[in-house]
Amino acid sequence: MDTERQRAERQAFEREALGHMDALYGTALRLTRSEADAEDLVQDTFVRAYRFYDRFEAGTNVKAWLFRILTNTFINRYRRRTRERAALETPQASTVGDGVMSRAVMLALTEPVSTAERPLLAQEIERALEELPEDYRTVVLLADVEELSYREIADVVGCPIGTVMSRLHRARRVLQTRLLEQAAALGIADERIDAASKDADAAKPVALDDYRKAREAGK
Amino acid sequence: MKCELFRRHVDAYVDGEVDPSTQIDFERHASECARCQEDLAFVRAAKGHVRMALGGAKAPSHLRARVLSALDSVDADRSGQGADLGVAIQDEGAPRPWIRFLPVKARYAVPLVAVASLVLAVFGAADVRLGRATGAEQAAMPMFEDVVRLHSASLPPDVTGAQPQKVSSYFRDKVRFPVRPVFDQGQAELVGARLSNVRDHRAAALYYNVRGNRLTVVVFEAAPSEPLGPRTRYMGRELYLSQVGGYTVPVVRRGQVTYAFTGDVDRDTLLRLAAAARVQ
Repeated sequence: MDTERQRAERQAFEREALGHMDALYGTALRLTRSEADAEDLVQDTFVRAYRFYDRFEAGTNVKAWLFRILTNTFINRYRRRTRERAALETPQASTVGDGVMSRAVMLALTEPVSTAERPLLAQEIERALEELPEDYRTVVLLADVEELSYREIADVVGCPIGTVMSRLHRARRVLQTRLLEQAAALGIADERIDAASKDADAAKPVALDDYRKAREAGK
Repeated sequence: MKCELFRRHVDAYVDGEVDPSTQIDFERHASECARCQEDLAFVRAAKGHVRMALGGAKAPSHLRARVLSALDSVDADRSGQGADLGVAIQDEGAPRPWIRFLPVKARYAVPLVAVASLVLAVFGAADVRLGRATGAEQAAMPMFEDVVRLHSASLPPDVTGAQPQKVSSYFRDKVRFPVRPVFDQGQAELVGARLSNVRDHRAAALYYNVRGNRLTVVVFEAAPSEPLGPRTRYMGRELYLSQVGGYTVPVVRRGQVTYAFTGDVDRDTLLRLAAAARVQ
């Protein structure tokens, strides 16, 4: 390859690809659970992407392409063993928040949470994510953090869109349940309800009544 | 639309993955059904919480420089400067262990075997003492876990080839200590090097080939206060010895500079090489 063309290609690559370093690093960190491994993984991803840059179709999504390389590199090189290919045991069409108490917590979580509570919720989500099987973890990261489309995620992880959707659905239920449990433990719903009873207009009457009844019945 | 359908596909709706007419169905149902509306609000809010909790990671500032210098190496290989490096670039999709492409220098095999058995004969007694020292339960040291990880992950080298000066100059502006190959060609064949990390220390990983087996030497600066494992002597040299994940990791320290050795060679060969390594 002549130097002129090579320099142009290098510049184009840096311009298009390197901007995604933070996103790639974040996902690498969540996948490898180690800063050192995450750095290695990101470096290898860029090197591979650069080597195969001529195969990248201009005009298509660079970010999704980089994530595909990252995911493949991770699977081939960094994943210690193919231990966990487990499926998550949750019913397909379930939603969380059945039961009056968790319903109240659910509603509380749709409002902004305090700065004191936020890190505690975040910690619990991080922990729950770590416990997810890898395939599910990847899909959540790509959908919720990187906001890739289902089509792009399917390309990145190499599976049908239907599989992306069911993994995402199950993984989210797990995270949501943990989020609810943590919020309940922090008493987030109680605070809201106390505040709401002072200002009845702000409350959602139906759910609150249910909640109060259940609370009284319980006592 | 029924509640069940709404709930089944609420994720797709939140993610903006349903077509416009279905979207209208969703909106209509949500406006009529308080419970589904609450579910929807919660799924949205939870997505926000997940994003807040897991997003926003920043790559460390040195990573950019690391990546750029790795890209430089690719450029160098491409423009032919790397033609004499001995290892062909794999331009193929599936990553393969790079070591497989390295020629094994058979001519070193015979003298090495001879040396090894001589060493065994002379230092067999010392090794018995070593065995006892390491038999004790040891706290796994994260530092050497990183060393073993570096070896076992078999990551591709940033620089390939057997030229010591190439390796030294690669590390010159990347680590604070001088990096020079630690073995002569007759002991172990240098095949490449890679910039990496051991905990939060920048580290130089040197890749060697010993009769077809991989050996990794990781050089980094550790504070004098950091524990390096039980101390012992082997062939007149002071060594620290750890056992991590099935790997033996002998360590030699010179001032702050720490040399950790590990590899797919037998324990005696590893200890002998660590004891003989050229450290500054």
